[in-house]
Amino acid sequence: MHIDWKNREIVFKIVYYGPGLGGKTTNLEYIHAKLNPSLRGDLISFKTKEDRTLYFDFMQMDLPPINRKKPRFHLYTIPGQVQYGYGRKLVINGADALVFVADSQKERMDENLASLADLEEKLSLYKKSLQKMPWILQYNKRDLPHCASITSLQSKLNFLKVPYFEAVATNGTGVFETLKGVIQMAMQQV
Amino acid sequence: MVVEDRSHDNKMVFSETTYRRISRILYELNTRLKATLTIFADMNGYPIDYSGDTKNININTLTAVAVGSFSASNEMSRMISGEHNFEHVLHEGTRRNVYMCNVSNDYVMVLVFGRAVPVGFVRLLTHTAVSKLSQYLDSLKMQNRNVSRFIDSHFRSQLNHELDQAFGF
Repeated sequence: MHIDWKNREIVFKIVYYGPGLGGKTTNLEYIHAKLNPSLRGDLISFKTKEDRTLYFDFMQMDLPPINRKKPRFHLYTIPGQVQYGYGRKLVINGADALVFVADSQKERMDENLASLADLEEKLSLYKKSLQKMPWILQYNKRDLPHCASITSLQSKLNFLKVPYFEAVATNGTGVFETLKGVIQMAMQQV
Repeated sequence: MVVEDRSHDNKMVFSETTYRRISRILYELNTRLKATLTIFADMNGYPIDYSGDTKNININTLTAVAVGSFSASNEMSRMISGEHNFEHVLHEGTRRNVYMCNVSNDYVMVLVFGRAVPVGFVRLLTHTAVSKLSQYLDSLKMQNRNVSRFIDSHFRSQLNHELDQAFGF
């Protein structure tokens, strides 16, 4: 969190974490597409030729001033692919709150767990942990066949009983609810 | 006077006095170099202050990308030499260049300048400005600046309202 007293702005860093192809970038793309253009900046993506995130995606979201204080949010995604661990370490530095975007498909459970373990490891580099960090879960791709039940996902991934949201990021279901949820989590920590 | 509230880990609060001091250093540097833009940012990608022409440039986005690039360069340094020792990074463009350098390990200075400005001159003046900034930042003492002065219960409840409006709930 960064407070700029001169311009009376408060800036939060929100990071979308999760396994590759889980829908992190799709979340940001949907937010960018649907948000009033006066409230957001460009969506910046560093992508490989295969359209996979290389470093991170970034977009800025502004809200109207409240009592002449301007809330601003920097939304980042991390590169989900295993080989881009450095990018994840870089992006997670200074995050105020996290969204873990889990892929609901049964066959992706191992990737979800590996990514969650990777998140804990990356947080530990900054002397943080999932227990202390504000974060929420998004169970994405709820429209696909072979989805694990929410009960099963909860028992395997949500061992800390953080808030969770069901989502279909491709059509926007649950996307803004997730964003509002994580912003509220970040606020609670202040 | 003071600057950072490290008791809140990553919650950084700069006082108005600090801003004025930083602004003056950035303004002097930017003016003397006839640079397009000079940004002072933290390693989390937040622009702390800037001086220059921001027309058609989104400061927040440029800073996030620049700090990402600078951090990636430092990681390259660590890979090839075992330590983060790329203090300066220069990107040369056809019309404008970008020069970045480390300030007190926690901050980055980003300069955008035209091709007509000699890179050596940029390095020289930036080095002087960075020395001033580093000395100033290092000399700052801890101060408890209450974040709740900025975020009170009204702010929180109004924020929820604004989020609902923005998200169409």
